Amino acid sequence: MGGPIASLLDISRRTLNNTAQGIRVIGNNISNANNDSYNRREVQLVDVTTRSATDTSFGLGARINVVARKYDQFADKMHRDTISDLGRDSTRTALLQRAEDPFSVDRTLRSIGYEMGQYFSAFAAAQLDPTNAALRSQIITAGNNLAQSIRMTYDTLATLQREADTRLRLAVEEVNSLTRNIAQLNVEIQQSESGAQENLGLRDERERVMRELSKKISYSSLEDSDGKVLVYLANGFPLVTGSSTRQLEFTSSPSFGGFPPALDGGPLGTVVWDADSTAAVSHINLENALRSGTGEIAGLLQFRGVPQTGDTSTFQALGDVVEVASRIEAIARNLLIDHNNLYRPLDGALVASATPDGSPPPFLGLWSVDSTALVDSDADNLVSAADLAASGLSNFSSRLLFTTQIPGDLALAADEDPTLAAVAFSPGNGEIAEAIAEQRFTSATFSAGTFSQTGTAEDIYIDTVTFVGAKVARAKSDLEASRGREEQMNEIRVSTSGVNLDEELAKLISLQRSYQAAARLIRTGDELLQTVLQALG
Amino acid sequence: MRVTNRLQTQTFIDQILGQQRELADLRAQVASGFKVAKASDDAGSAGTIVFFQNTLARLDENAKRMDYAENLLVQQESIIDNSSELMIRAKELANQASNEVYSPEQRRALAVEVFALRDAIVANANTRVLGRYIYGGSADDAPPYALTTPGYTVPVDPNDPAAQRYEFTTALGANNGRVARINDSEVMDVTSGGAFFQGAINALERLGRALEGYRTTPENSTTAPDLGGVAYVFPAEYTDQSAAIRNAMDQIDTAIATFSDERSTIGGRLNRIGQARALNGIIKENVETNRSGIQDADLAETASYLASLQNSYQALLSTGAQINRLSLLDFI
Repeated sequence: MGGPIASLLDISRRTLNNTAQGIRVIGNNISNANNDSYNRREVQLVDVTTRSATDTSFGLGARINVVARKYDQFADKMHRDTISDLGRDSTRTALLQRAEDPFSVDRTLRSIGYEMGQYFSAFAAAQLDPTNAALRSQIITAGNNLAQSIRMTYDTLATLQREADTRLRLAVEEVNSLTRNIAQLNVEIQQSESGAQENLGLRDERERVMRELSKKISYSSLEDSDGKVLVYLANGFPLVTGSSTRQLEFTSSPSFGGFPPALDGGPLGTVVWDADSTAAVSHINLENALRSGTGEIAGLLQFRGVPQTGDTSTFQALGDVVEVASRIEAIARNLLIDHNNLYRPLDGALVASATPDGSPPPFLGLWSVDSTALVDSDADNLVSAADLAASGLSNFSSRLLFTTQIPGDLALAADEDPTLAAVAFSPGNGEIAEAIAEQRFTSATFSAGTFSQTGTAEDIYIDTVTFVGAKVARAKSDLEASRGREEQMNEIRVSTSGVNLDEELAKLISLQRSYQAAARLIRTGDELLQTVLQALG
Repeated sequence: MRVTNRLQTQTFIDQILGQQRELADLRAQVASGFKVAKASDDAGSAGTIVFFQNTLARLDENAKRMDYAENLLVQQESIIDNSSELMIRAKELANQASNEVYSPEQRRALAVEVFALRDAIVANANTRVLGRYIYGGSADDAPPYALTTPGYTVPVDPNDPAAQRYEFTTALGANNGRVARINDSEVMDVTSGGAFFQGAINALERLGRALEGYRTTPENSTTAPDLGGVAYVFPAEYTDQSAAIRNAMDQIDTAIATFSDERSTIGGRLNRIGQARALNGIIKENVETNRSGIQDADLAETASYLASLQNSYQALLSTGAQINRLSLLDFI
């Protein structure tokens, strides 16, 4: 049936349908008001038009063009970037705060600095009365405590590095899972979309997964005309290309060769991609690219350390915990070399030291390690950097021991015979004790890996405390800033895509009135028809 | 900017968590008494705090060493005072005996006391503190002065005090003085080598042997006795005996002067320790004040800020709850 009355009924029918759909969309918005990954929907109406100028001029009502998402692509991308920053900073800060614990300035914790002071004091006290058994026992106690403090501090750092390494493995697996998910969603979106209507649910889900991926790594993304998203790292390495992904691997034996061991002596894993699609393996190292980015993986790598090609030492890797551990290692090496060489055994050509009965101490007489690998490789009765290197041990801090455990075996007397060929000792001579006590004020070069600094032992420790404190303070400050930026960008994103219940309720009232009005139109049209039919009678 | 319900809720939660973090930090400060407990609390001050802590520990150690050094010096002061008195008494006896009114027998009677004075000087030189011989240098496990074997050739009886000879040990390091570090930049001598007692012992042995009636070679000399010397033949050699007594008196004067010099040295060292101790105390007070200023929390200020923050937190909870309750639903 044509004509104005028929058009009126048609318009009313469309209006009822449109408002019903509109109410349905509002209902969906309200039910997803607390869903952080939901972008609110809105029905977009357009005029119904035909080729007839008359029809269009009088109007044929409205139709639903699309149900659109309220979504700010730029805000979403900026938010993902802040999520990445926050992921990196929160991961790194949490680990650094735990690494800071052994360096407390609260004297209830007996740190390396405290034990070092006790060690020097014990030798200074014994210098006055070197045959005093109680003072000798104090030296041994202080030496044991210092060794234990160094070992525990180093082991704490090594454990944190190992934990970061393990978490890296898990993070890489999560990244692989998320990229597979994105690729799958790409396929589903492409297959399900037709015409102008997007598959809003799947697109919301894909953005949620991409935000999850942002927590792990920083990346860039690009959407093509088919609705598929390309995801790639800052160096151009593609993670997701349409329906395919590049799966990362975490291996401790990459094909391009190994790196020096970790702080605990075990192997460190490396994040790689196997470029060879056959059974052969051709790994590409991705760690430097990931480390310079953001996200949890970058935070873990920045803390754990990334060894470089050509590194020969555990302490050359670029990382927070390695920088701190290298300072502890430098202190341990100073004890092994400088202190042992003040305490050296009978040589005949050099000033030597002796116990009260005139017996010389052995090689490594004051400080040693729990390994037989450290020997006098050049047979000069002196400990040298070459001896340490020849041992093949990756670190000495975790193995440090105070050698002498019997007070009577401490060699605190120095040779008093002026001739080089002969040696003679007197029991009250405490010159070796004095020499070791003087190391507190003696400047030396402390080095391990890339760390090298000249100063006294106490200076080195104080600098280490300041270094660690500054690092943690900076990380906390960065974390606060990242948190603030993430909150701010989330506000901007959610202000566009989030649901305001009061707004939806207001729209609901408006649609309800429209529905009532459309129903009234139908009744009016029906009355008009009844009038015509009665007239025809 | 468009505000959504989710945003309102999240902002409210973030503000609650932020305030709670701040409250937790303040509570930790009040509980520990430190405003810098970890290096990251104030990285710039953390190193300074450790430096101050190390300095305070060193000052305490310096104080202990000063106590030890002072104890040794006080002991030495008393030994030297006593030794000086003994030598003065010896001079009195020598003066008395040098009077040629005294017969050889009367002079012999005085020799007993002179040898007793000699033995007392030897005992002073062999004084032990905490089981170690003060004047033994680094060979302090054995007495620095001991009887030589053999002694003087005349008299023959080795138990006769006139036949006994005490000499300073030749053990390596015996004449070394002890040193003690009393502050970061100063090492101080605590004892002198013990050889300076030998002059007094030599003088008393010469005097005692002369009074007893024996020559001591080389005669009328200040060099150490060579364990030789025969008995005087009286009355022909009476004047020789008088000359020997007068020679011994000169050596006693020299020994008294030596003890006086050592007394002055000890006095100077004690003064130095007194000054160092006073300075140590001042430095310790200043360092502790500076450390406290950097590290310790001002509990009154912190407690006041904590109360203020708690009020602020309560206000946040109250207003947040009220604002979040408002909705169009209440009016439909």
